[in-house]
Amino acid sequence: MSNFATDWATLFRALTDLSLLALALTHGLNGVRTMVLDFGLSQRGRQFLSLILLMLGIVGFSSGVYGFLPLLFTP
Amino acid sequence: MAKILHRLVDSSSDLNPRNIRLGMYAWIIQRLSGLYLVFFVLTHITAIAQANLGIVKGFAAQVLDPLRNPFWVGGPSVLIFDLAALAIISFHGMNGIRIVFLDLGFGVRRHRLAFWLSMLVAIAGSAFVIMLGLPLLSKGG
Repeated sequence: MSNFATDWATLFRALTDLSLLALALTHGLNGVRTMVLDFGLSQRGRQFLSLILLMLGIVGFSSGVYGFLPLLFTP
Repeated sequence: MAKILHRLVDSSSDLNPRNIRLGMYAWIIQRLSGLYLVFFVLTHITAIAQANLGIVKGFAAQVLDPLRNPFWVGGPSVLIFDLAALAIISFHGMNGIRIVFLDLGFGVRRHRLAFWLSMLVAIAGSAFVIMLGLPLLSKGG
């Protein structure tokens, strides 16, 4: 059973939840990057750190999206 | 290590507690709370995803019952951790907004007042959130 109102409510909730997730992860991991870079790293270390944090963010966002799916497809 | 210790006790050092003033404490706490919140966000994502996917059975048994037992009597309590997280989140958020205003040029000359105003907003916001959450704590709610 679905109707116009609940479909749009679900879409709104998906957009707000997932954008909040992406923004919180980006803000947090970029903050960690800033903190670690304040201690001083080589060029290679900075690249490695950024890559690791980017991958951690992608894994976190993916698991968040995966955990959100049941809410999208609940009858 | 000896160098760091020397910097902590040297009266002319920036790391000497005598020379650390309000804005520097705000900076230090902002960084430490941010570091904590990264772990908080990652565990939060995991917990919510597991609840949504049905990996963790029974939202009430897992979340609400521990909340309803604030003093750890006969079972686990998470209330103290939730309140600590609320305090840390509201501090980090309101101090962050103060920093954005400082970057925009507002409140630079009155930054102490701006800090305490932001803390007032943080406490008021926390009280509001606690008020919203109170019905969850009553049995059968």
